[in-house]
Amino acid sequence: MTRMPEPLLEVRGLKKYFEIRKGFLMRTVGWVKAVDGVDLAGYPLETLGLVGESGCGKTTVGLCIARLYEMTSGKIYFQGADLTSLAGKRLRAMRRNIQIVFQDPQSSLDPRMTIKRSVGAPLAIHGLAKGRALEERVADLLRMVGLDPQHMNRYPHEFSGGQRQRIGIARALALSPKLLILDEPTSALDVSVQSQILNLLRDLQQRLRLSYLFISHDLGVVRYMSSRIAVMYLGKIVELAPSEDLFCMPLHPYTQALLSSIPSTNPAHRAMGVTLEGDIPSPANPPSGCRFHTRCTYARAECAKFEPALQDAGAGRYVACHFPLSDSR
Amino acid sequence: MGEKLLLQVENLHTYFYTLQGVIKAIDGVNLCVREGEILGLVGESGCGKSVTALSILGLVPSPPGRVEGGRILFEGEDLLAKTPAEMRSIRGSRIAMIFQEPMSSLNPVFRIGDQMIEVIKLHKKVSTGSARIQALEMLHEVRMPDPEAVLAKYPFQLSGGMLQRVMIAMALSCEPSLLLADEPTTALDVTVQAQILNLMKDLIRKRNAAVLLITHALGVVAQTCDAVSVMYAGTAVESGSVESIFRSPAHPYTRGLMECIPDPSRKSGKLKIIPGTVPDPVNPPPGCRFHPRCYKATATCSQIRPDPVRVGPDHVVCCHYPEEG
Repeated sequence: MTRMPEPLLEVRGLKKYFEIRKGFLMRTVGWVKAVDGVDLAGYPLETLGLVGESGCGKTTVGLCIARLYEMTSGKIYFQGADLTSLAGKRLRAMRRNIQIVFQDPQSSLDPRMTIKRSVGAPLAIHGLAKGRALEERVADLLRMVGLDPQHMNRYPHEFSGGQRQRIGIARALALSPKLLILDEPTSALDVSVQSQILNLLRDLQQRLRLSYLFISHDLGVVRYMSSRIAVMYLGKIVELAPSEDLFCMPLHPYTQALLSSIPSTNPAHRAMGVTLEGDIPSPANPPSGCRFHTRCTYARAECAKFEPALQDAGAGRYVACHFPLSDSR
Repeated sequence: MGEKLLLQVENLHTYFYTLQGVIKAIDGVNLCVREGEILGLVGESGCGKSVTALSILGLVPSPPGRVEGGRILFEGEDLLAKTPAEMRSIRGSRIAMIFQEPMSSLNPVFRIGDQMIEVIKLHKKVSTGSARIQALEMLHEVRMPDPEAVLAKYPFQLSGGMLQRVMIAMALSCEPSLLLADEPTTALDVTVQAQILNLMKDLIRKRNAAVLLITHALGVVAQTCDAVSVMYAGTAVESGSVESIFRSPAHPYTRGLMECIPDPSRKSGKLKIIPGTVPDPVNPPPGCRFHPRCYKATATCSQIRPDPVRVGPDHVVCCHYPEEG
């Protein structure tokens, strides 16, 4: 892949803390550090995968980039322009460029709106089309995602899960965005339908020259979709690498454990190699130092004291570990 | 692994009578589980795998559901002929069950210890004190950190993985010979899933119990099971040993399922797809239920329901044109 020097999306030091409130006065008694200092760059036409287990903050990163959450601190640049400082009209104009597809098509579509209204809503809100023009645009969008435009006056409940996710994708494409944030777009679907949606997304990316931020917990799906992958653990990125390199030779012990805990579909390979002990610690009270040290098989004394920064490991790879796994594997 | 059959499901039919019509959730399913064997039951949502488990346990909600035909032989006895009271004493002691959501299968207002002790006392006629000791032993066995403290906790104080350990401990506390596990790791993260699956395998082997593992994840089956049955739209389309089915899937649906999952161990080109969606259970297609989505369907497939054909030792498929190789 030829990498453009200018990133489409740049995230710097993104933090999002949620307050924990308790008692009658609802005083703030603590903070859930859902995202705690994330740096990312997404390049034009690439798919950047974001993986991690539940509660690692991957969805929060997506929602902050779409500015659906107000971030606690940090900066987000889109095509060099600072998204964080925008408000009102200029924010709305910028939003056309970044759209999001949610996990559950059941709850992200209004059950009382026809498909025509749902898919056409972004166009109406931005005043881009109305009347016949809007109807034609909606028909185009539905055709693009493989649905019959004649069904546009139907309601979401008349469609299957896979079809609903196609509707969600059509709605996200209505404003011709440059970046699509895909938040677990196939997790709620059956495998036979999942492959249809994944292929559709790959086709659309080529046809419409889109960039994707693909958020998922399914490593197989992420590998299929992404050119580069960022692995998150407890609100931080622990490793970022081109997807082939990440799968062939993980540098962070967490990535290694994550990869080896995927059950292989080959019954001859019955080696659930490095399995992790214990659960993910609470993001309200993350461990000191390296957040992974409590579950890491290679942890040493310094891991509990000093927090490793995400460092350049060469060849477009970054890893946040004091003792990254060596190449001698 | 013994050769003796522990559970045999023959030509099971379970229907649900709804206002929309009769839902044939299970329409002629055959299964058998040998002693000490882990059988995987795979299929997409709505294919009837959970209803199969509920039918075995006699827990089909009725109305609207009813087991309309077939036989379920467990240790030689027909479970469908049992009275509700007899079934109650079998459930939990000889056949145990683990569900997908551990949080919703435990009572939120009772402590873990009370719930574990209740199960043991119900089936074993022991004192509360010795039931408590047994509960502690079981928690030890499922490698629960600090079991003593866990007994005094409420379900909401434990994580999903820990709760699933409690469920396994409870299910195995009465030494069942068959464990039904319905998507036991679906709600868990992959790293925790690996822990739970390894733990389940260990404990099962130690007790020589059999498991019917219901899942939609083929990877989980490949890693844990000895044999598999693949279900589609209320019917079992293929069954056999894990090695044989993963090496040479004979049903086009099984093959399609395997090819449409992105394999994390290698980068693939375009994913294969199975066109269309799962059929409406009220009006399933005639003949082979898979024919509207099958690439090799012919007129025969849309008219005649395929009978089981043996394609290998221990490998049976319901297809007019089974795949080769």
